[in-house]
Amino acid sequence: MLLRIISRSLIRRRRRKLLSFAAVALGITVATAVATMGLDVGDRVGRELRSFGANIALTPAGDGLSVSAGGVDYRPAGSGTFLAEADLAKLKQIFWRNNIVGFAPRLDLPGRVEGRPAALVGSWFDKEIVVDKSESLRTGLKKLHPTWKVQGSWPEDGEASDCLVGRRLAAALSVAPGGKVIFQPSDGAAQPSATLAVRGVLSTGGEEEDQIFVPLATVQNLANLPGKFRRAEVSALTKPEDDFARSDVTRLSAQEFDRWYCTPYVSSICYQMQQAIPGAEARPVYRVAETEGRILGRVAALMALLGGAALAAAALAVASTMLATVLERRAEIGLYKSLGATNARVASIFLLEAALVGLLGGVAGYFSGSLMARHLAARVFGTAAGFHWIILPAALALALVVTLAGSAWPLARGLKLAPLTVLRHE
Amino acid sequence: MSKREGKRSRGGRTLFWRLWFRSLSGKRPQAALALGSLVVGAALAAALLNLSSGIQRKMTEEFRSYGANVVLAPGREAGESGAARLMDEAVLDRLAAGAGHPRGTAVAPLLHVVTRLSKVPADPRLPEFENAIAVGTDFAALRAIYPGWRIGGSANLAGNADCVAGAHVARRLHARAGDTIRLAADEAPAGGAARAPQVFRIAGILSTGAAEDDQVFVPLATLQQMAGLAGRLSLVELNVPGPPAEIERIVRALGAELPGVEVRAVRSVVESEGKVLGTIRALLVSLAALIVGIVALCLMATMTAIVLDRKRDIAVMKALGATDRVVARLFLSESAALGALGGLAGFAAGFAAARVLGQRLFEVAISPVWWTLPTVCLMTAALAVAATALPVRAARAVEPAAVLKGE
Repeated sequence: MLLRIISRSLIRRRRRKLLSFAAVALGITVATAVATMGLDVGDRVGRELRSFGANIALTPAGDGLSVSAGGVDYRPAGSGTFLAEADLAKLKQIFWRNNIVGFAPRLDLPGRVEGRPAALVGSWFDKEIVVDKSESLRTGLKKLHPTWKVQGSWPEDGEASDCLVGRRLAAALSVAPGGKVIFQPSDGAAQPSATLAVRGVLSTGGEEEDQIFVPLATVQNLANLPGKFRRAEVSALTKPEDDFARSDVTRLSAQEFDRWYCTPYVSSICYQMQQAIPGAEARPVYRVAETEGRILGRVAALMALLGGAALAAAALAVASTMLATVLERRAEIGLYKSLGATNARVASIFLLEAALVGLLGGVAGYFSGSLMARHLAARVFGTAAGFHWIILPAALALALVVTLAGSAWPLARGLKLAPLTVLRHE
Repeated sequence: MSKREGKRSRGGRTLFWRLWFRSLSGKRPQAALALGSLVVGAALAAALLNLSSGIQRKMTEEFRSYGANVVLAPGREAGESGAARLMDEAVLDRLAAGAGHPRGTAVAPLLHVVTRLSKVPADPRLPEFENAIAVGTDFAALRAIYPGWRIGGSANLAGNADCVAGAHVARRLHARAGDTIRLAADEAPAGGAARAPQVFRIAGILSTGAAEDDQVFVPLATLQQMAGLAGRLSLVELNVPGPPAEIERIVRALGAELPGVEVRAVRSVVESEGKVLGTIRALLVSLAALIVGIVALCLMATMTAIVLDRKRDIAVMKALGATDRVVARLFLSESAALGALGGLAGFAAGFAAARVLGQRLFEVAISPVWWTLPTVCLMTAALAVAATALPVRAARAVEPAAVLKGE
């Protein structure tokens, strides 16, 4: 009987039900879209902020003072201490390896080009690193600095004589991609000069525009430092530091230490990097790390705000439609009651119907919300957002709760009325 | 209004308004519901619109903590040697006098000099001296540009003989705040004799994670005098407040105002700032649009219910001679009033919420954005009218005789 009533009602009041269904679906669409975006947005903005450059600097522990101005270390090649290039792959073996977005070593060699002081910077452009048998990754300057623009093409890491010339230097030397530059190292070098083929001109808006970038091996050979580098830039996705992250690590209890170690704070990632690479010191670049932390904190607050607004709107949509449909059916309630149905029986008819509509609307809303998030993410971030299945049960539960809550109050009102008044009034 | 309608008794018009007020003030749960959804929708839209400018301002502020976003460097003609290119200090005066940069801009002049660094008194564990970069600057201004830097000890360079040492420098020298160091210019400047070394007291120790850890910061005038480079600068760093487009404009204005100086924006900051702000604006706008859509749907449902509920009223009105137009006008003007009322109440609630949320979540004081008030009210009124228009068309089909007889 119950099922018959419900199925009849669903069929006969198609338009009304469609409206409720649409309201539930729309409300859940918004909630799902915001939740999906919320799950992604932190990561996305984090990646966006990676264009600030590296947030961790890896240097040899116990190295002498660097004499760097304009981003180039002017110490003679060979003085100070170095790290081994082969050790860098170990960065992808630490606990938070998946948070390491990219890294690139650096070895500078001061010298002259056409009598003009210029520095040769050896690094990786887009190099394939073998972590272990099953895993490899591509990393280097290209990945580390997404805002750098190259006119011409990026050099190949394997081509020892290819180079990328900074925009200002290229303008001063009047060279273009396809040209040649002759670099003379200042001192301590293995060769008196090197002829480099210009593959591209680099514009960064920073001090790199006065430098020449070559594959790391080229500088290693020129400076007679095979397999060595001076400093590495590491870009990692981190959790903004809170009070716990700032507490003194050496005083943490074993349990607290585990919690600290297993949270991707910039300080704990630095700690793990130092453990992984012997003789290295990893330091957070505070201005990048802190700015990122603040911005990500604000974005999280914003998403919470938007999520709250979306939930309120969704709840409003569903509840008001349910309210309207139930109010409209007071006469039906009166009829059931006059035929001897108990309040509980009547309520079960209405609530079951509402739940059914709510669930269907929830499922539809989840899918359209995910699609909308995908579309929005493509427009806003330029990449597609995935389906987050974890949101489905939450969306269904939300749809159910809101439809039932929206039906409960008008139902209670309707049940209170004497059947006689309602029916005579009609 | 046609002549015939104009001639109609004044009683007819008062009846219209009486009906109007009666139905508005009548205890209809549906009307309350419609008003409720209008208020909630208006409140959400008003809150988001009012918050959006505050949020963007705050985000811009947060981006400022990354550091300098505009850099002045010596132009190409100022000298050929890359690292040692210098410019004249007069650029600071021209900068201060010019209209190119807005209020709140932090300006820090910098002079980089390679020096021989040693500890006083000499430490037998250390080499005789080590080369290090000394940076002559206005440290308070530099500190304002880089709020993310961490300083142990005092950041206040009280005297001309105080310095701030980078963390790596301090570690190398086994020095703490309060110790003294000696700096001597490494090379004699062209045409001048090497100046006497100078002793500095370490006031504070700076950790940045970048090149600054290996540098010593001293007052600009002291270093200029010590290195024989009076009136010379290597770089001027600026932290210009304002959104990215504004900064691009200022860079162009400064470039025109300061010939011989290269003015450039730090692109990584300006670009990612633009992207993140764009993301946030897009999120806010798309969500506000979705909320409007939801409210429209709610209203449609409720208004349909109201019109259907008042079928009998309509039938009576029509039986008494009301035209379809009068009935439509009654309903439409009613919902317009309802919409405006909802918009007003919603704006008040939304603004209050924006204030609290702005304070709690973003630590910004939100001042009312007045253009949002008429916008929100008009929007809700338009929504309400649009949502009523469809069910009102159904009212035309009401046959007074059929409805009233059916009773």
